[in-house]
Amino acid sequence: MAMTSNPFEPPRTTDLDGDGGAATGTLAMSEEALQELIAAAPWVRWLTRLLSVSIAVGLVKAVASVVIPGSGKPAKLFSVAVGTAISTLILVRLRRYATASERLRAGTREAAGEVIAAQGSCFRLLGVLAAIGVGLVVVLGVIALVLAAFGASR
Amino acid sequence: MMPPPTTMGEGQPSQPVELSGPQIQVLRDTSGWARFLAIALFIVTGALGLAFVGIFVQTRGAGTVANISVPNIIPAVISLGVTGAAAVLLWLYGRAVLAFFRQGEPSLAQAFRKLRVFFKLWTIFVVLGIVTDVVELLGKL
Repeated sequence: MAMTSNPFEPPRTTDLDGDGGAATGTLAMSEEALQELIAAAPWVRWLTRLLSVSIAVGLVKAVASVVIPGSGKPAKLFSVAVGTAISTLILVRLRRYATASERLRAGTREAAGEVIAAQGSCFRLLGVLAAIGVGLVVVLGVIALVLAAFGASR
Repeated sequence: MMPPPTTMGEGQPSQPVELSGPQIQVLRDTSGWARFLAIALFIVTGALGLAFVGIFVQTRGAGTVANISVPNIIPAVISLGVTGAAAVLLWLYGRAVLAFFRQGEPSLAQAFRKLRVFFKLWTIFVVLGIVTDVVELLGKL
């Protein structure tokens, strides 16, 4: 099997790709596609704002769980810390996306390339996070099975 | 020297934006990640669905179904629906981008339409998450 040098290359789904590998001639984005990117701009901007609010509310919840006796658990604080870190990473990528799509909305056609790049960066991050999440679930599942088997044999 | 940026003014003839080699590669990679995410979300949706069925069967067996309150069910059902819908939208986005490489437009416009709906869904989900968090926080105070 051929090895790739790029660790951030998306997982292969060759069997699902059909014959979509080779693009012939020049590919161009239609006006309709541009309008779709423009129409998405306010939603992406609102998403970044609301994600910021969500992070802030999460932090307030974490503080409240520390201050209010009996409501906090170390595991909950850890999950809030991890969630905040992940949300911040996503927020940074989404802000880049929102800025590029707003430039496109303002009329700068060159920003279409920036939107595509920001889209790629955003999905790569989400994909890597999903891969880590799936990996963790699998590892924890295997550990749970091994522990269950070990417990049953004793 | 960089050429001055062109703008989409009124009355200006709309010309398609030609995609460069690196942009095409980015789109291809994005399509792959989107489909990978969609598959992961399909698995999460299935697991959530099974978990809900399991909880329902367990509580029914114990005769405590009445203890499952509506405020507990609604967020669970919304999460299941949103996860499933997001998976479908990302899958369709990835497929439409691939179709663009084979047939050209209007597949890319369709792909970006799916992405726009995905962002709408994500925004609504974040709003629901904030509302749930605030209600939970107020309940503690």
